[in-house]
Amino acid sequence: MKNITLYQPGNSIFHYCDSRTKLVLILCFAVLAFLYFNPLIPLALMLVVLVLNVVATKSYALTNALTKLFLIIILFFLVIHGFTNPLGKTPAVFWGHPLTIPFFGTYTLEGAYYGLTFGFRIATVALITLLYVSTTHPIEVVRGLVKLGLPYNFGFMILMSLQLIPISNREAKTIISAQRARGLVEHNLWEKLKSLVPLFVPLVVSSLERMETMAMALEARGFGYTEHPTQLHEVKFTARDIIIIASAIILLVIGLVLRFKYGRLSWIDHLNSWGNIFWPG
Amino acid sequence: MKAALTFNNVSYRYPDSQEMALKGINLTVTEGEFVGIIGPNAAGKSTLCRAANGLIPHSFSGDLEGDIYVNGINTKEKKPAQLAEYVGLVFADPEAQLSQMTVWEEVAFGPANLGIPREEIFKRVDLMLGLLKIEKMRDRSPFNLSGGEQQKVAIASVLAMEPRILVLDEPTSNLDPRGTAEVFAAVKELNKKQNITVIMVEHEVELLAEHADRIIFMDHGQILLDGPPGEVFRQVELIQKTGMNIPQVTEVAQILDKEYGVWGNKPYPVTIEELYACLRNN
Repeated sequence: MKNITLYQPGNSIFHYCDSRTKLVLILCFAVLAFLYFNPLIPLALMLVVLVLNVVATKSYALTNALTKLFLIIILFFLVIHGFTNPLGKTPAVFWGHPLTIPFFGTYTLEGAYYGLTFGFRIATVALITLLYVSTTHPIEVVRGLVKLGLPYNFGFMILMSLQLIPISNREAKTIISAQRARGLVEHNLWEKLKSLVPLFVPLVVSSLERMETMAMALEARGFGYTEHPTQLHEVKFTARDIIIIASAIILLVIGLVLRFKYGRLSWIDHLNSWGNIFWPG
Repeated sequence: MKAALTFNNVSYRYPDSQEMALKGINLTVTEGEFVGIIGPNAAGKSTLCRAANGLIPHSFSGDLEGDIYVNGINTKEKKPAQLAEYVGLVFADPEAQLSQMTVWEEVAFGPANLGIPREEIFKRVDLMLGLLKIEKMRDRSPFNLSGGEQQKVAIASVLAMEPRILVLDEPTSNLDPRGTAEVFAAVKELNKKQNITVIMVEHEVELLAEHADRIIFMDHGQILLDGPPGEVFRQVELIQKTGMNIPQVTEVAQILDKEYGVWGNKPYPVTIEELYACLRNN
């Protein structure tokens, strides 16, 4: 069965801790990333999160599509904001020359500063979320959410749909094979698209039929007997969870105190060279 | 003998249909019986199963007349989820009945829905996995099992709610001969050792004739024949007219009976062993 979720089995500390702990972690990092207006702190946070990801899922943390995507997004932000950000006033110097594109304007240091800040912030949030989904089994995700107040039936529905994807997939393959056996030929993209129309009806019909049996089978097994079915797996915070939550919250509190004492720690108004972007000059 | 399931002059029509699916069914199944139900398509067999655990009338609208009693409880008064404690229903499509991530969770799902304490569920699940001989698969996904194994998981998950009646609606129609044999053996054992009442709709007449104590032949929503396998399968013409098969052994017995008149008024043999024993005695 092809993996349809991002879950990577493993035995790191993040695999064993409660899914709610990881949600607290996401919240803390998201707030921290948006607390200050400079590229340095979000960059540091992003690197910390990347390290946590590597600890949890080893090489997957760096080779998966999401990490790559967000590294590309940082570059994208760097280029677009550099040329277009309205805050830009100091032209950046590339080997002694400013860089100008017609209609867009000159590449500015402020733009680069802004682009990097936002790129790192978004990548931090995305990667800490990746840590959550890649170390938490879908069933644990739902269990955690149910504990936090998501209705049981709704959580059950999510899990059920996850189960159905591979089955529907297999069914679609059977139907396509049957239609090819009866002379369906797809030469180009348009014909491939057209062949999806006859696929649709049998797939929907068979899914509906399965749903009917499924609904009956669930009722026959007492689904909906009580509002509060027995929890088979005890979801409990352990010392591990408490340590992680405590350190995340301490970090957040320190961040908030610094924010209120020293402001946004922004040096966007004092940029005069490339090196300035990462360190106030 | 206590009645496990009683149909009192039950008639039913599906909402979008003109014809009655069940016409004046009167049926009493006593505790511990193994009843096999045979009949052509649209004979009302599945409708009978759905009526037995309250899906009809609670999940299907339509007109239901007469009363159905499960362990003395009128099915009109309790929902299928509540009746699940008394009647377990197993369907033809093994995959469509399964919903959990592992076999263990699948079997625990039913009792958990009933709100039974955890420790009790753990005990029951272990018991059921042992009973159906599927302990080895406890941590596997039920979707990666063979059809026969899946059907056994489905049966175990229904039995974990400890119903005294097990209704199976064509449980082997999607299975290969090996899976079919596995399911029959498991059901037979439950019937004999746990004294669970079994009602089984099947097309496999050979196996049904061998295992069931009583055969019911249905057509057009009515019960046409009801009795021990040997007596029911004696009515060869009636059964074959509807396109159904009778066990080959019984066909042989019928030919022998016509040519030599060996059986007289006695029931026909339905298994090879019975035929052999009969022939030896004559």
